[in-house]
Parts: sequence; structure tokens; C-alpha cells
Amino acid sequence: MLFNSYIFIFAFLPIVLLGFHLSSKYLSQTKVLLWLVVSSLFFYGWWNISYLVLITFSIGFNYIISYYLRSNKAKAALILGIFVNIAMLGYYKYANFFIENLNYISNSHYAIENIILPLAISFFTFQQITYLIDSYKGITKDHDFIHYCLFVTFFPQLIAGPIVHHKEMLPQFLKKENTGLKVNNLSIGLTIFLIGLFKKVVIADSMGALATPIFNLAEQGVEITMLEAWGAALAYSLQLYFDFSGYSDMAIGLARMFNIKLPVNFFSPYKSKNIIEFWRRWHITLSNFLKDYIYIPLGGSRNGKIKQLSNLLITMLIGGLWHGAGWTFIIWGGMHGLFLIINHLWLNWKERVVSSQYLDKTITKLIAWLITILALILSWVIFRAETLNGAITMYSAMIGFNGLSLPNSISTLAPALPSIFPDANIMTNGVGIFSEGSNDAKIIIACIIVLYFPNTLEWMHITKPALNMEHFFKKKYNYKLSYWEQSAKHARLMAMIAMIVILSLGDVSEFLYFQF
Amino acid sequence: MNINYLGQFFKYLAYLLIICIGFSWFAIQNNLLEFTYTDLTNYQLSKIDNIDYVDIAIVGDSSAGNGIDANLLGKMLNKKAISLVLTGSFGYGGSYIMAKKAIQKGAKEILIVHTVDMPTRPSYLDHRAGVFLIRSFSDLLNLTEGIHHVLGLYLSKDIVATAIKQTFKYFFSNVEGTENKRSDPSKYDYIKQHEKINAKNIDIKISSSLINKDKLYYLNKLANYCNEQKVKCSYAHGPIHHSFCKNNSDYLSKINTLISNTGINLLSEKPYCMNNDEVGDSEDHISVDLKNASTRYYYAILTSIISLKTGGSR
Repeated sequence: MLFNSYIFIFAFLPIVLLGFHLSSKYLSQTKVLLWLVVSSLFFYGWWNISYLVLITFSIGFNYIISYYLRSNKAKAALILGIFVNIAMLGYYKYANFFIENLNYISNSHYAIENIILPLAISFFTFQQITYLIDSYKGITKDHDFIHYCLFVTFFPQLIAGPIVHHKEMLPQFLKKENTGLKVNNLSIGLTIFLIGLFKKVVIADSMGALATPIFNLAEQGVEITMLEAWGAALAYSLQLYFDFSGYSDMAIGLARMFNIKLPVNFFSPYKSKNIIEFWRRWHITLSNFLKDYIYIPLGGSRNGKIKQLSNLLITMLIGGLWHGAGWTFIIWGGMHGLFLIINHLWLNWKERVVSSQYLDKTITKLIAWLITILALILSWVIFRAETLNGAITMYSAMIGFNGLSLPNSISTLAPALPSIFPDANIMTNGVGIFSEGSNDAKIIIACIIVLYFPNTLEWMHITKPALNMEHFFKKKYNYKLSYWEQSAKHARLMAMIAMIVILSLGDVSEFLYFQF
Repeated sequence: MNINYLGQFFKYLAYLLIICIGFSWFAIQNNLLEFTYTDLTNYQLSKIDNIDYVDIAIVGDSSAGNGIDANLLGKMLNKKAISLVLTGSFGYGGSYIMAKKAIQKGAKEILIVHTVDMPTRPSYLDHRAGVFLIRSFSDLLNLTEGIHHVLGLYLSKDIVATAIKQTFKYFFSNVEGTENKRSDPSKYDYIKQHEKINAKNIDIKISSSLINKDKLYYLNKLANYCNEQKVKCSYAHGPIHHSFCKNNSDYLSKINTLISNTGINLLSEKPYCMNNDEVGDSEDHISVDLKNASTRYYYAILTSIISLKTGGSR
């Protein structure tokens, strides 16, 4: 069941909210939480009922091991717990990738099974591994099984994160005052949810319609021109941004309707001026997981610069592999590892290379942002490509190997361009989707929203919409758009947004992060 | 203040919903949208509602509407035959509903005739068929899909935008409904054809990779229903331009396998292949004056005069 489907919005959500309210009024807190667990499992089972067995086994197994670890601190039990989790993830997500590569290297013909990747397996596996490790360290408390179930299955964050930490979630579930519908939280949650839905169904999906045909052509080996390739790469970068940002908003909004605050997971990452900053703003909870449970255990920055940089590279390669079983994802992770290494080296060298008086200048910041965004767009190309060949076709086109096809508007303004640059293979027939002004306008509007508008959490900052936001609110709210308040003006604005969203719900499309 | 925010939100949302649904409803009721074929569906539904008994019912799309004369077929078979044919927009879902209605009226035999590219078309059209044909709860095909398409119909941005535009045109430019421009279905027992096309340059190639297996969903349901009710249900391809028959043996063999696998009896593996001068207003519509000839073809395959395997391919 998708957050952007009629069945979720008009049936599932109202029923669960009503059940939550009524059970809070007439039943004990445990039964209220049980209602949320059952609803969340129903939500998960709607997709494929047979995988309910898998998730319930995973929950039961991890709960028993963590219970044992709290009282016995046995390393063997921890290793067994982690092994079973990784084995499950490995079987469902990576087995075919492994067999495919083994067949390729050894020229063998092991059969590839038709394994359907269970939805959200990467998310709930990582979440439970952290719980096991923390139980071993003695950080977790004795939690009721229902509480633990809800920590793993809570439907607003089950499918595509944020990867929540038990320290953040379980105390909220335990609070008696967090039961029952609260009008204030309902208003805030509904507003955030609708903004997320708008980002997904109106912006992300229209960007996807621009990017997908070009990436598909590249996969089939069709030569595409430079402008088309850059246009598609930019459109995909925006699609992924609004898709994930939209999902993160919806998750926060939905949780808030049930009086729960989720951690911030996405905070205007394309405004970053370097890759380190980007990873503090993009999929923040995954970055934190990778840092706390992979980078630091590997040694972090403790054993010298070279070791630190190699730890960074390993962490990002694992991060790439987490996103999917394929070489494109591993290379993408490697690219980001490399970007981070360059960024760290630059932090050491910049004082020596650039005079300090230039570092705070606007032009320097603009160059830093430009380099960062270019690196990101280039890396999203391989992230989006289905095969290495598809990615190579896109990169060749972006470099200009297939010539340049100009939009009609530019061709008319500068008809002499082909004769000035005869070797550039400039075509002025304006082929491809980026020759149409309306498509260019969509991309420009999306870029303006990304770069000049406050993000949802900033716009709604007075409501303290998410956990761990302090880091991002060192500056004052400084946008021309007045911040959100519970006024009639904003209620009317949200009604308009809701109407646009409802009219766009017919063409349901999945969230990109559902596949990870 | 808080309650006021939610109250204001839902009040304005309700206003907007009423406006949008109102426009869609008005446009659909007045045939202002191209694809609804309201006059045809009303005509066919009233035909089945008002009939006392029927032996054989023909269901399918426009290839059958233009290719089979139910009265003539009935006379040849010496049975009471009626055509309940809709258009391709209703897909197999539309045929399923119409066949069910005919069986409930006592039909002992159903002839399903669809154009050859039907298995490549999007399956959402089939689910939406229930929305246009809905007269009782059982007409709503798949419940969740049905809800999805009822909402998708009245509250889709494309339909609402077209409905608003067409409604303004209707009031201010004196535009009649698209259906009114077509014809009265009772005159021809179907929709009147447009101008005959020049078929000389038609060259049909359909890749078998385009086959949408989900499309067979309602054909499977129809097969099961026929089985349960012990009704003889047969399938035949609609007439098609001869270039299809020449170029698409792989595609044809694949769709034949899929259709046969549903359990419905495929009368002929090959379709009726039209020469250039037989083509009417599209490559899968036989010319109006040749409707009798193609009806005789369907009579022949129904009564096994023509071999089942080679069919009527000429």
C-alpha cells in the first residue's frame, strides 16, 4: 500500500486514526499500541502477505536475542544475531548478484532463483542490528514485546525510513500522553503529509517523466545528445530529491498524527557546499547508522589520516551496496567515498592553497556549491542507470561524444552556432524532450523550489516537527515566504494543495527508495 | 484556533471537491468526453435489460460491432442472437460484464470478438469499464480497482481539466456532446462508421514484447464464469488488415496461447484478414457494406464449417 494511493488516504489512514482514537479512549495503552502494530502489519502485508512471515520471524528472533543479550552479554549470541540478520538480507537482496558474478568469474552456470526482494528489508534489518548491538552494550532497557514490535513496524517509517533508533522511539511509545488524537498534532501532521504528497505526485513524478525516457534510450544503447543527457541527469536528480524529500515529509507527518516525532532525515541537501555537508543533510539517519556502526568500529579517524580515508571509502562502498545489489550502486558508493576523501584532503589543504580572505566570499561559496552539485548530478547518473553500459552511454553523451542538439529557442537565436563550431556536431532541429519550453520551465521551477524556498521543516519550524533539528536551526528563519501557522490563510492554501494532490493521485507511482 | 484550522481546511477542500466532481459529472452526463460512449453503453444495456430471452450473445469491441450483424447471424444459426458489443475502451472487462448480464438472461452461448492488439492495451481500461457500466454492485469489477477508477474518473486532473474546458465550450460555444455527432446506435445496431480510409499504406507490425499479461485478467474471469454456469464461450479475433496476418506470426501464436490458456475455446487461430478494399474506417473495421460477408465468416467458424486450426485466413 503506497502513501500516495486512494486506498491508503481514503480508507487505511482514516480507519487507523479512528481506531487509535477510540482505543485510546476506552482501552489500555498496551492495547492502543497493539492496534498500531496490527495496523502496521496489515499495511506491510497488503503488499505481499507471504512476507509477513518473514518480518514477524525477524522481529521475534531479534527480540529473543536482544532479551538474552541484556542479561548475559554473550558475544556469541550477538554474532549469531547479526549473522542471521545479514544472512537474511544477503539471501533476499544479494544472493542473485553473488551467483551472477560467480558464474561470470568461474564460467559456471549456477541457477539464479526468482527471489522477490521483501519490501523494507534493508531498513528493518539495520534498525534491529543497532538494537542488538546496543543490547549487548547494555544501552537498551527491558522493553515489552508490543513496544519492540511497534519500534520495528510503525507504518509511517517502516518502508523507507527514517532508520529510527530505539532511544528516540521507544520512550515516545511509552508515554501515556501520546495516546489519543490531538487536534494540534493532527493539524501539523496533516499539513506536513500533504506537502510531502505534493512533492511526490506533482513534482517528483513529472521530473521522472522527463528523465525516464532518456535513461531508457541510453540503456538500449541509443545515442543521445549532450543536452538531452544533461537534462535527463538534472531531471533525475530533481526526481530523486522530491521523491525522497516527499516521502520523508509524509513519514514525519503521518507519525505526528499519532503524536510521534520522527528524526529529521532530509534537510535541503542540494544547498550543501561540500560533500561532507551533503551527507549531513541527505538520508541523515542512514549516514548516522553508517558512521556509528561501520565507520567508527572500523577505527574512524583514530589511526591516522590514511586509515581514516580508507575507512571512509569502505563505509561508502557498504553504503552503496546497501542501496542495491549491483555494480552501479557499488561504483556510486565508491564515487562518494572518493568525493569525501577529496573533501577531507581539501579541508586540510585549503588554508595553504587559498588565502583566508577569499574563503568567506560569496563567489567562493558559489564555486564550492557548483562543484558539489556537479559531483552529485554525475554520481546520480550511475545510481539511476540499470547497467554499466547504460551509465557509460549517458556519460559519453554528457561529455559531448554524440554531439549537441540545441532546443529550438536557442537554435533560432543563434543560427550560426553550427558553422562557428563545425566539429561540435551541433544539430539545430531541437529534437528530444528538452527542446520543449514547457519541460524546461518545469525543471527551472523545481530548481527554484530546491534552492530558494524553505524546506518543510524550516517552514514549519515553530511546531518543532522532527527530532534532532537543533543542528540545522542555528540561523534565523530568513525567507520571504512567511512561516506556517494555524491560520485561515494557510488552511486555504493547504486545501488547494490537497485538491491538486487528489487530482494527481490517479497515476500512482512507487517511491524510488522503496527498492532499497 | 486549532479546530478552526482543520475546520477551514476541510470546508475549502469540500468546496473544491464539489466543484471538480460537478464538472466531471456534468461532462460525462452530457457526453462531452470522447471516451465514455454513453449513448452506446445505454443502448446496449437497455437492450439486454429489456430482452426476454437470448440464445447467443456477441460481446467485444468495435471490430465486432462493425464486423458482425447479430440479426443475420441469428437467422443463419436459427437462434436468438444479440450484439452487446462495446468499444476497445472497455477492454475485456466490458465484455465480462456484458457476457455476465447475457448469461443471467439465459444465454447458452457467448461469442467474444476482440481486435488483435487488445492484449497489448493497458489493463486499467478494463477495470474502469465497471465505472461506465455500473448498474448494480456486481458490475463493479474488482472492488479496490473499482474504487480507484471511480475516484480516478471523477477526480483525475486530465478529466477534470477537459470537463471544465468542454463545459465552458458547451455553454458559450454551443458545442454538442461528442456522442451526438457520431450517430444514434439504434440505426445501425452499433456506432456509424467514419469515412473509409485508404488502406494501401497500412503495415501492421506488433512486437510480442508488448503483450500485457495482466490484460487477460477479465478473460480468465469470464472463462471461469462460463465454466461455472455451464455456458459455451468462444473467442474469435476481429477482422484485421492483411498486413497483420503477413507480419505477425510470432505475436499471433503467443496471444493464441494466452487466450487458449484461459480455457475459452479459440475458434480460429487466424483472424479474418481484410484486403485493402475491404477496410472501412480503420484497419480493424470492415467496410459497412461488407458486414454481411464477415458475419458469414463468423457463422462458419462457429459451426466449424471452416477448420478450427487454419481458421478463415484467406
